[in-house]
Amino acid sequence: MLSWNKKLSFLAIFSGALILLAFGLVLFYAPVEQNMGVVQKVFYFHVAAAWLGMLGFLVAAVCAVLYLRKANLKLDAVMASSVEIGLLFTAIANFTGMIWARPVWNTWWTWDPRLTTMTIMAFTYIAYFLLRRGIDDPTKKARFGSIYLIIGFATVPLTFFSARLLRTIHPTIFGTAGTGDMAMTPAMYQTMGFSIFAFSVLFALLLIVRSRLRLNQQWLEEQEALEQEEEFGEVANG
Amino acid sequence: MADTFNYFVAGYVVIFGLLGAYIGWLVLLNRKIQKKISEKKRS
Repeated sequence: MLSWNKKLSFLAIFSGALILLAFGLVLFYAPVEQNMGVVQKVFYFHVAAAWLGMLGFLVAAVCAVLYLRKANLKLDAVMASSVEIGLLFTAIANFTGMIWARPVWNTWWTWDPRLTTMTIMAFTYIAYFLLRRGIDDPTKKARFGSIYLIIGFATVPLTFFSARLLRTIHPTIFGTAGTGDMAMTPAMYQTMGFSIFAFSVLFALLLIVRSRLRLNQQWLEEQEALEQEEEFGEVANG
Repeated sequence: MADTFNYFVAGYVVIFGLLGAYIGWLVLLNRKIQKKISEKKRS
């Protein structure tokens, strides 16, 4: 039976190889889009990052519901880690979107419904960490955090459907066609699908690693609290 | 076709830069926590 560290090392190598392969597909397999030029190739990792960002917030919301039922602090570690990784991928999606928009829309930023809702979503989840910092008691922190994440999850479908239901210039890849859509060849769809798969494996790896680190941090905090209690007891007993 | 190669490079520098920075931070955090844990177990 392999140890956890060896399993994680294998997963890390596998994930790295998948990301490199996905990048290889972006460079050499996917064709260059005729109107936008080579900057369109940023879109493959941009879409994958946007999806994984939302997946991170979904995982956090599911863990939040489970925490309210079971009150297990391991779930708190997973939900906080999932939000953190979700924010990382959301940041990647936002920055790459801006870089793509500059030559295509002739602006770095516009208050388009998709961009606006995505920003609201990102700030909602940044505020989650501010809330956590404001509470010392671990169970209170987890309980209030869970309630916040369940309510905050409303921003995720709002962001996802904003490009489908509202007037927007943001392209829609899946579902209802919009005005700004790009025509995609099978090679483009295959590259995008593989990129999403590669990012999903990376997401799983990061979530496991970060959750384990958070659990170790929790253990250290518990030990420090116990030591402080012992010291206080000794002083009180004289 | 528009020449957008610089934006393409910038896009992937941002992607790999952010991912690399986060993974690097996780490695440093892991080292720090492992050091603290081994100190606690020794004491």
